[in-house]
Amino acid sequence: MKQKMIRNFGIIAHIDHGKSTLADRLLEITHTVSSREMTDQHLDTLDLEQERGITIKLQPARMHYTSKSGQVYNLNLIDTPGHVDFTYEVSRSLAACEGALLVVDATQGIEAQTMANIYLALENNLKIVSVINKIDLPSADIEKTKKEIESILGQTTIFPVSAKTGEGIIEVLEAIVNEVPAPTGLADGPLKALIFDSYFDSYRGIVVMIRVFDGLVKPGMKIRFMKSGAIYEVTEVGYFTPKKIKSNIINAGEVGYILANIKTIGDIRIGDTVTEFSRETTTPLLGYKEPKPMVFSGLYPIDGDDYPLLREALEKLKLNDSSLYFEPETSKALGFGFRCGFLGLLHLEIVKERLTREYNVTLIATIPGVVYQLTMVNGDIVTVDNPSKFPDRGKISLIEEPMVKATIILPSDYVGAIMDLCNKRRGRIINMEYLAESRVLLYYFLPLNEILVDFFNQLKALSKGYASLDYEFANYEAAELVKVDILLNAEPVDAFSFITHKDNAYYKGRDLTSKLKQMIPRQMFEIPIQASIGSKVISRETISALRKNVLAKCYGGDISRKRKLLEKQKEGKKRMKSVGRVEIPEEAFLSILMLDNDKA
Amino acid sequence: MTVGAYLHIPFCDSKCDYCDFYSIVAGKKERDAYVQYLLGDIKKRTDKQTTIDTVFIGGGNPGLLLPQQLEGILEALDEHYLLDEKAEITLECNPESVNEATLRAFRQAGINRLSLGVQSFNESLIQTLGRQRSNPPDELIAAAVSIFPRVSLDLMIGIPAQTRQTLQDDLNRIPKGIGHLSVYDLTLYPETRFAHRVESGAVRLNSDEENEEMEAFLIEQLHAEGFVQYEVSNYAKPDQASRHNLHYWHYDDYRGFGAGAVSSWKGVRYTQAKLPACLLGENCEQQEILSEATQKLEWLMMNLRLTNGFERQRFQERFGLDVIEDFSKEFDELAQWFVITPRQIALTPKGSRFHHTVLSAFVR
Repeated sequence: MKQKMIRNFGIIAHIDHGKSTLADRLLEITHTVSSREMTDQHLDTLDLEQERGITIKLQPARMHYTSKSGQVYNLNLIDTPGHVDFTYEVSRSLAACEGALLVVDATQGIEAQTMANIYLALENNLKIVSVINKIDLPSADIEKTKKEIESILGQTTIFPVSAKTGEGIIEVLEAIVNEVPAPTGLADGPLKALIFDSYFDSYRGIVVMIRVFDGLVKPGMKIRFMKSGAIYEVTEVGYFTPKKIKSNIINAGEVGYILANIKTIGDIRIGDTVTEFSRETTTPLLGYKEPKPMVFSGLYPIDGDDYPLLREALEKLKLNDSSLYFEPETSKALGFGFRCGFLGLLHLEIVKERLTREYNVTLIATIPGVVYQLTMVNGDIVTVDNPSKFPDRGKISLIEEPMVKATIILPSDYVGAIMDLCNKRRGRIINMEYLAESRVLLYYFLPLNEILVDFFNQLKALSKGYASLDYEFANYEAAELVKVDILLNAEPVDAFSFITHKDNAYYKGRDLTSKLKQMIPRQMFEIPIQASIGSKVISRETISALRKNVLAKCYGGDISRKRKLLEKQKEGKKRMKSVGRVEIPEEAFLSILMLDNDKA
Repeated sequence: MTVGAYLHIPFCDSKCDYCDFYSIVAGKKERDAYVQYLLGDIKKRTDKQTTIDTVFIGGGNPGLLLPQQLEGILEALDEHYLLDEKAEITLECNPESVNEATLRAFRQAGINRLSLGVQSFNESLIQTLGRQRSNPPDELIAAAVSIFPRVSLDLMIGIPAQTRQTLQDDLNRIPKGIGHLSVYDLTLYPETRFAHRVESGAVRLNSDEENEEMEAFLIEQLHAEGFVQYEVSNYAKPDQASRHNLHYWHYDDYRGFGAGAVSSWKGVRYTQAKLPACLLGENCEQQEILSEATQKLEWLMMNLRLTNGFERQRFQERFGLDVIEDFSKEFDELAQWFVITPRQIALTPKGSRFHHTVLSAFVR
């Protein structure tokens, strides 16, 4: 197809603003997916996505649309994730497009994350087509939402639609055709294609998703991945509808996939440029900014034998999630595992859940933390991403922690409560603006470490779900931080150590020791639980010894039942981690995530 | 082959608040029908090759049966099995439902051991348990001791508001002729009225420490009176141990008759249908085939309940190898909980208190 008949576009939307439903309608109206095949949220392929109703992984789809002028266009939709953690993925899909649909919920208005993605699209010089969704709902406020979009984009042509009923969808398709520019690559130039995603297919090896800018790619062609240097011969090409459809060629301007018997995961890097081996492009693409992991946590298999399985699973996940970082680490309490870096907490949670569901590895995750910069007394600068590796306080002269600039959009009624929350998390207000009447934009400096655990939930709870959050890394700042250790039976358990501000150490230490007291079952001996800073104990609890554990009556009719209780006890023990003589249930490692931050 | 026979009488005058045992409240007509069914069950499973040397009639409250009904049941056992003439024949009984005359009649019918569910002599503690008792049990117990060669009492520890003093009062009221005591901890079974009262806060349980202290006190007193602990919950004067229950703890085969009764027979465990299915003649006996590994675990679980444990020779005879060889890893790791001699293996007193924890390590 000629490039002038091609339109490549992404969708920018906040979670729940109806992006997936809109994508469903586009697929349906263009007859890409028949009504019979139609399941809700067609482009959300992960079970996890369909269950949570959120989109994490982008999933491309090619559609044929006959416009009102009678021309047949080839529309490539590249779906995007909408959560604060996945800015990186949004930029990946936007880099493959010329345009973007901005979808805003008429009942909610623009959210913080959407703003961030709008700026991302503008940076990429994308044409934005603005859509107000859910106009069928009685609580829709089209005028107010229009004003918000206008104040940010200066646009006046805005399309009201209902993705649910299909109202206004044709107009949106027309706008894509008429306003989004066609690709303008060199059709006969040397191959230049962007890798925007890849995944592992157990039968066919690695499937590489590309957007061709210049030239073409077809089976038999020898290609080179310019950054990794790997050379392969293409065995198959095709596109997505979103089903994988084999074709003969992918031309300039088109989106598709290539297969080349690729088995080495390291050869494929998202953002790399694919070119022809014998005729290389001289202008490789810039690629993406390497995403920097912001949040770190240790992942350990509950069953030590699963360690190789966990490694393999992480490698496979990294293939289409290049923002995932991991390296082996050892914990005294948990054995062999991996230190993993994530873009944010949701990213951590999703990786953990995918490991459990798709790869059947049962995991313990240690408390999420950030990277600290330490200036040592001897002048050395050290970075630490793991509390258990924190050097002795006496050797450190300065501790600096990462700060983020947070954008919070919320109804003005909740400003007081949210400012209170930010202050408790050691935040400093930068600015406050009115986006529209009764809609407020708050800018805050916050320590990243303070928003990792339970901040987002609190934000939602305190604003009845209306506040939205986006953040970006700002800088490192000095802070009076301490490391709190937890000792069980006088032995430090490295997996429970955490870093916190010195003013909060006492409360958090006390909270954690009392949580652990409730969660660790009584054992045959007394177990002291202590929280300490260095050698100073700041709180102490004791789990008293179990007095006895014997079933009083056991006669003829009871034998089977009592034996089954023994078997159950043994089964339960398998789900415990032994640290020294103490057996710690899996849930105890999660309790640290539920520390009450806001008591202090 | 010599085995014990258990006969289940699933009837009570009223259901106690803490009980999750299989029993129902029923009138005379239902009881008559049930005895007919029980006689049929014995007949149906005739086995003239097997000698019965212990009989235990338990419930529920078998004291509700008429003496002639008991006589009929024992006759049936004698007719369809070989009932040893020296057999130990125990009747379980709620002291409330019998008097001296019925006890004499039971003795006449062939009962030679009586087990009385007293729980506590203290009226207010008994009310806390939701049991009904109109008279102090002392007179009845005295009569039982004069009528039966062997009498056992059940006592309970851990009743809310129980103290060392109430326990001392209980002990003072046990006559000299009592040769056997079963002492159980009050166990909270979910979905019982008692458990609901605890959950709602109407009743507060004693602390573990209080119960442990009372138990230690009780054991000390019992030792002084000449009782020896021979099983986790059972104490006896010389030659007074329950021979029927020893069958279970030795992991011998046994036969169970009546609704819901369980038998163990040559590596298979059978459970009879419960009421009312059994009365309707529905054949829904359940079978559980016990693997060798399961039998070993159960064998150890039962034998290690005994204070003196077991002779290694007995394990060897049954399973073909020495138990220490078979479970070398487990005995190695848990050595501190055992007293092991070349002939005998037993749990230490502390190991015995943690019987469940220790034995769970033997699950394979």
